[in-house]
Amino acid sequence: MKSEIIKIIFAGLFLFYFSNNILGQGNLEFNQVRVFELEGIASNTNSTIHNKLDSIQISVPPGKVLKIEFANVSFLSQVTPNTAFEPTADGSTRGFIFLNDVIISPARTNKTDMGNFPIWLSSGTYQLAISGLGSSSNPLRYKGLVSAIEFNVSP
Amino acid sequence: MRRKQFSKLVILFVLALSNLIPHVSLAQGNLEFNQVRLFELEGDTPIPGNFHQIVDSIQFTVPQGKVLKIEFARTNWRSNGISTNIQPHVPPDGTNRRGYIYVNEVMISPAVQSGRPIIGDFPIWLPSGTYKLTLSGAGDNSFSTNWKGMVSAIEFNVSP
Repeated sequence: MKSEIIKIIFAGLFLFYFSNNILGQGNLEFNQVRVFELEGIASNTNSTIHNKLDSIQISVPPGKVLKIEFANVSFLSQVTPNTAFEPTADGSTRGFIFLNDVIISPARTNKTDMGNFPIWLSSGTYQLAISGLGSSSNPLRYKGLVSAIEFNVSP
Repeated sequence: MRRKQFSKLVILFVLALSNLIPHVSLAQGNLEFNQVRLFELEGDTPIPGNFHQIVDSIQFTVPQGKVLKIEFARTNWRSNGISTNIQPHVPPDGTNRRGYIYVNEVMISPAVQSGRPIIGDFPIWLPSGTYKLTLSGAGDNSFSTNWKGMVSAIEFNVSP
């Protein structure tokens, strides 16, 4: 009697598992939020030359995908006291965030903003970098943030 | 007693079946995530000058029973004439320095033209078939320019 009840329970659990998982292939399941921060000071003697200020490698493990939903950069004067971070602009305060050398942050060019999200990445290794303009007489600190969601690909 | 056990089994079976019904009977025409596809393009303009040139192109296929949703396409450039070790790529500015990404010769990347609004809208859905991705660029009058482009997309299974 007891063993038959156990059999029934197992049969029910198996059917429930089958219906949930065998047909659930290809779904995305939230795994974690990932935030990447980049920072550096642009102080090149030539204020028109862009500088790569910081770079990091990121990995998306096998069986996971990454959805980048935000990337932006701002700058702070190292000379003017009591200033807060300001948005980058066309001209002498340009700063960008790159993914494998392609700009992903909003890029103001002729007063036009060119950002678009999301950016989906498959498993692999990628380079994130930040650049900015600055000069030895007016060094600028650039900070960037990239925010993303990592999903498990089931199964 | 046997009848009671049988009714328990029936209830469990019905519960499991009710879990199946939404997947099976209502799944027709649904999209199911298959994979992320990332395409990278790169090349130098063959000739210095601020006229447009094709720098790279690739073919890709969306298999039968799948569709592709392009959500991101961007391009940027740098001159090969100055310290490329520290020079990052910069965005096209819509005057002489223009670079675009195309699907089957139709522009899909955001395109700045001086004084004109941005062109470029996502997502772009593609059914199964073979497509050509192309990267073009125009830049420096004195040196060739290096252009980079990236297209990010999700491939879905179309459930039968």
